[in-house]
Amino acid sequence: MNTFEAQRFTRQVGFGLGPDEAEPADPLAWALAQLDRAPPVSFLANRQGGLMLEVPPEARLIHTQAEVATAIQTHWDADKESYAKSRGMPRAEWEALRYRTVDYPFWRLEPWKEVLVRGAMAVNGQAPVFERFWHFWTNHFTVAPATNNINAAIGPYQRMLRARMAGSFRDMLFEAVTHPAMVLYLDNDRSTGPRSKARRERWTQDEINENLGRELLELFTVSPAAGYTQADVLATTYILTGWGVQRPDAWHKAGVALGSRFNFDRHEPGSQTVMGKSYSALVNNDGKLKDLVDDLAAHPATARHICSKLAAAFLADEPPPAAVQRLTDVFTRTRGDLPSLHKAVVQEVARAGSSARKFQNPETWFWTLFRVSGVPLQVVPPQRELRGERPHDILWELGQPVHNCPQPNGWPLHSREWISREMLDRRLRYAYQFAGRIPDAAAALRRQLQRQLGPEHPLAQTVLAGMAPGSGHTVRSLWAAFFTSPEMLWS
Amino acid sequence: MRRRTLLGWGATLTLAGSPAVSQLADAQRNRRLLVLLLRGAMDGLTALPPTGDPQLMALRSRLVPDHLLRGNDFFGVHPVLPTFAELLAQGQAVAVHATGFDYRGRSHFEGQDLMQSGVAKPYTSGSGWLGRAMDRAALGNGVAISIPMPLLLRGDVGSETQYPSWMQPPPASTYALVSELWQGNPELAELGQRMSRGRRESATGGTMAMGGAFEERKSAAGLAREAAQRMRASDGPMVGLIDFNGFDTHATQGAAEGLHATRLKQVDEVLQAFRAAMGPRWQDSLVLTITEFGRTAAENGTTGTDHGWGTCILAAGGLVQQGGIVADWPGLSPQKLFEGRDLAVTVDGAAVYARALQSVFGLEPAQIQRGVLTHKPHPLTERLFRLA
Repeated sequence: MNTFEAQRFTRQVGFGLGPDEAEPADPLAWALAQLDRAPPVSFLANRQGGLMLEVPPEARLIHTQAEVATAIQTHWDADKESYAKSRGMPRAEWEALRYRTVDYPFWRLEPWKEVLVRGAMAVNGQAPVFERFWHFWTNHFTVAPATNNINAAIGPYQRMLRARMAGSFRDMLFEAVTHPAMVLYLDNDRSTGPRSKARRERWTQDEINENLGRELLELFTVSPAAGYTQADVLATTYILTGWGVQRPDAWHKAGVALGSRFNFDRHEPGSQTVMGKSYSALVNNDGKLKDLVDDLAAHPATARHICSKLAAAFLADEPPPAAVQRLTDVFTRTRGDLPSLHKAVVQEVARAGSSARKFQNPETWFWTLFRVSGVPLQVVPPQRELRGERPHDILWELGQPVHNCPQPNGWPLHSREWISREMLDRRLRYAYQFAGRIPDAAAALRRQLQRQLGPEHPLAQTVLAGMAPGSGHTVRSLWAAFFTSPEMLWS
Repeated sequence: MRRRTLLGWGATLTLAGSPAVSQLADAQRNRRLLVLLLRGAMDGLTALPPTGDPQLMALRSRLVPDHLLRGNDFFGVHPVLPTFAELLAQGQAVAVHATGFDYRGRSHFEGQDLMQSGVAKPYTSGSGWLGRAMDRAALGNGVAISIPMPLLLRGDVGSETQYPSWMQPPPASTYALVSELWQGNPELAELGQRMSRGRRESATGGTMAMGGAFEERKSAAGLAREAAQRMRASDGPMVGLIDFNGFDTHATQGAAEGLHATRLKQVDEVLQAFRAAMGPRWQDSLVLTITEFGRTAAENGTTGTDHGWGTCILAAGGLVQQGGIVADWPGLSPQKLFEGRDLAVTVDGAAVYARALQSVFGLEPAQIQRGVLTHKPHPLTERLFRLA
């Protein structure tokens, strides 16, 4: 790789290099070294490990299972309480209460801090390549705030996925499917088998809900290409009954139940057949799901589905079948070992050279602006009146509010979903706004062109000509044009 | 200038420009179509509950509102659809029930691909049936009130996207510079010119400050007005599109109020705002809903519904020929339900949309069948919408 290819490679698999970052002598080795372990998540202010001091103390990140359960319960309680108190309360007073106890802590603070910390890791982290794969997996296993108020569970859920990136796909799959955030998002919490104890003894009228069962097959593992039927969806749904959220009530606090999320009382007993294989619980009642997840993770259709998606995310909209096949082989050979798979993807990108060409989605492009220009990520507190300057809001305007994906299939990988007049107009608007924050902009632009493209590149020549006195262009305008050039929109 | 994609001999005809053809095209050119994409599977049995079917209450008593608006002797209208009910009474609305696309896989994502691509196999078409119809008719251009370009309109190179934003645009000179830099790029060149043109034509680039007024612009009614503002102009786009999410109510769906009702209400808000904003052009307009499939006839274990098949299509506007709720009703008894669980489809939804294409673009059924939208014709669709 020459120096410009190396720069491009760092944008293909990461977010480019900052002005203070030396170009790695061996870019491939630089990337491969980032994939073995999950760096801890923190509000990094710079690449020396300094922290963003302006982050309010209430934006502490939630990590453990117990904290997740408590956060969900707190959210529900606050929501319920605000309505209970609304009776007889003047509207303005009620709105203020609602803002203080529900809107601010859960609907503003949660996405604000999660998007900020995600950005901090992408822009200032030591392992940007790892971050790109994290973004892939949080998208593959999409969870978004749904009707049942799970904002507080999304961040911890995504950090759980991150930790699992050092292990196997199977383990990530199992944790994703049974995590409270997912169980709530895809409505499995109350899904109850018709022959379960809870139904037989008539504690509840709840029945099954297919949402999670269907997506486990369709989106997370084998995909419709495997040719499963409605009966398979139903059997998967039965196997998933009982996997719900443990409320941190007194009963659970006293015992060890908090770590477990399986409630046999709601579970459909007996054997189920999924894609021709029978699943029964011989020893542990939760064993059926474990066995099913084992098989789904090892299914050839899963390997192909995951590897096609990885290739479409990093290589090309229509990746070469040979590359997908090589990735699939790695997935199969290593039994879904994720570091091996991620390394294989990076190697494919390096191997493809100039034929790997991906249109950067808004999020990747957005963090890349910060990383390559060295403009610090601003900590703009999540209050109402300051909306519009926070990464969360800007990503919303750019068409990819990362914390609020509209559907469980995640953000699209194909470039045609990101190329429209409105999409590109917004990139240009933001690029121009951003360019106004670059210090010593003229000198910085010259350095950037030199570094990314070299003086011979036609784009560099056009921009440099625009910088000549009397050309009629402002430096800010030229920066915006550079950020929205095909060279920076595609990696 | 209108750059055309090559779609075979059908497209070349339009280049002949014979006076007879263009006169017809002028009359046709006044017509307008607003489509509402209802993603997540709109529940036809909630929107228009078949109160005349003896099985309805047994299947979903907790999902049927107590006080329905009048549809006809067999169907009620959900109380959040007062504008639709009013238009029904005036003969300016029509609904087809027990309809849907010929897709039984119950996957949202395949279903949403097919409802837009209009082909047989998911993820195999880069264009949508409405985009192809505009292209084939050499009429139209669409405006999607959306940030991405929905698949439905792709295939027509003149279609645009727009959506309210608070982001301030840079000066026109920046747009000109970018447009120039994009010249050599086949994916960006045309868009750059349009962005540049759009910037020249509006002093503010259409932005406004964040806050209440901005939120109002992004409401269902606000988006409908945004579409109408473009579409009511005599040279405005013939097609508008608004994209709604959230109809996938697996849990706590609600009846008169609740999750599904909130989503349906947006459809009514669009109808009300669009009718008002279109003025006299409402008489040449049609608003149509499109959803990927329906929901299970029975409520599920969490007072919601799972993915089903048959649903209903709502249509309103001056192009409605004969108002009312029509269906070849299959019944909700266990043996009549598709696979024992879903409302069956007795009228191909694609035939309803094909009829709309005939009405709005003057396309012949054979033209539509061949490469625009394959469908199984049904007598019930023949009097839905006015032809030229």
